Amino acid sequence: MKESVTVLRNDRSHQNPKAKHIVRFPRLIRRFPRRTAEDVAFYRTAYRIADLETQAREWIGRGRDANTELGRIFIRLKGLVGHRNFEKYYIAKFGRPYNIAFRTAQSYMRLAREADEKAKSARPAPYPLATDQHAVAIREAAERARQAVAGAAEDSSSDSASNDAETAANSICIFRPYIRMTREQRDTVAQLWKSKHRKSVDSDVTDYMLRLCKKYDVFRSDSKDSDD
Amino acid sequence: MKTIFVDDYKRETAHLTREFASLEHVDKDKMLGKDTLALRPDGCPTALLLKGRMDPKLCKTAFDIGWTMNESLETRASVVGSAAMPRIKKNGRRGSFAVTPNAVLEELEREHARQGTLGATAGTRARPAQITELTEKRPELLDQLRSLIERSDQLFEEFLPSFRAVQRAEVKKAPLLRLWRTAFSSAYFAKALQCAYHRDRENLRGAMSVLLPLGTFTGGQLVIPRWRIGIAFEPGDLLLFDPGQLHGNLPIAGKRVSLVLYCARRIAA
Repeated sequence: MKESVTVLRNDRSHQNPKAKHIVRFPRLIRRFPRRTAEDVAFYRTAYRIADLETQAREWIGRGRDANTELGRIFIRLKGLVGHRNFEKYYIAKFGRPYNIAFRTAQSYMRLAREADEKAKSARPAPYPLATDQHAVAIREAAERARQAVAGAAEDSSSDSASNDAETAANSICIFRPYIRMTREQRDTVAQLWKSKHRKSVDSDVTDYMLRLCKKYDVFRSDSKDSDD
Repeated sequence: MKTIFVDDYKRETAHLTREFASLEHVDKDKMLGKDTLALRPDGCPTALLLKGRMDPKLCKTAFDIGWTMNESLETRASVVGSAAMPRIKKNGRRGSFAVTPNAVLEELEREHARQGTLGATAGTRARPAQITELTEKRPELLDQLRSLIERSDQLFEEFLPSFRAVQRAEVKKAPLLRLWRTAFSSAYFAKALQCAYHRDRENLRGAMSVLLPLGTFTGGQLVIPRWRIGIAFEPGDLLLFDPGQLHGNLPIAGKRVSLVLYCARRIAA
């Protein structure tokens, strides 16, 4: 309230005859910020594009290094303008005025990418590992834990390795042999499978299959020794 | 407000997850120390630092609440700088769930690092978002934070209105999980924790998080390696940043609690 009163007191606009027709509102509320960060971003992007355009114009018409540099600028502009709009934008801003084809610009951009890739591989890693006390302690603790977990897995597997193998070998699993037969035969077998004799048929088929294995000399390598 | 354009180092930083931040990961001219807006190469805002915008009293209250947090960091392995590993049971066998290893938790225990979340947890395909246990047990904590959260939301709306609009539209779908009329659903406290590089997976994609450093401390700058920027914030500052990018802290000296306000993912499902 105090502030608004002082503003009104200091307003001498009525004393100036020229300013009579100008209606002035006392600024009671200060609007802050006048532009949002998004507005700032928008304007800054526009300025950036303008700045890059100026740089591009400077580099046009120089040698190979210049073409690489120009390619770099085009890559940045492409990022700002957007992939879809870039061709149109390029033709309007550089293609027509400077008579440089879009394909040429693309080759400059490729040159720049290749040069940057080479430079990156030649440069040492820009992200060395942190060496502060906390980082080192945590890294060591994590490594200890990793070794402990690996060790635990080995221990548990070696203790019960034989038991596990036995259980795995004796456990029941499903085997679906793909046998070729006519539709009629298939339907009959399906009926048999649905009947009350299924359990005995199941074991009979298994026995028959194993007999076939013997007949054709097919055995598992580990079970062969025990059978012999 | 100062604005900077940042360069993209996505490929170079791909391997940095779970590593710790270092000053060498920041370009010399990109340590933000005053009101600054960082813009990605495509002109989109990625971080906004607002200096001294928060009331010290509100910060003190939030710090006192944050200092009482007592949840273990066993569920956030990548944040503490380790891979999640199965626990080793008493019989010497591996457990079935991967968590932060005990050796790492012991290291953190020395620094009294703890965490706590007020508000909603993120939903998954199997489980919808819900209120955290801590919020159910102590709902008064959120009420004490109300002024701070609303002030942060006000600044968010003032400076990044379209980002906030997206977040607000999402949070409006789950009115029971929304924190009053703000664009946030959750408040996460990290107590005395130096974070390794990580991404916040529980946040709504493409949204901004608010980070408020609280307490009395030095160091602890936030580093975003992809843009090679560092943010030197102090108590009373507010940082809006994209939590989907890798980020981590430099070493901290003193007492610090970080408060992160965000909109959890899949809260509307």
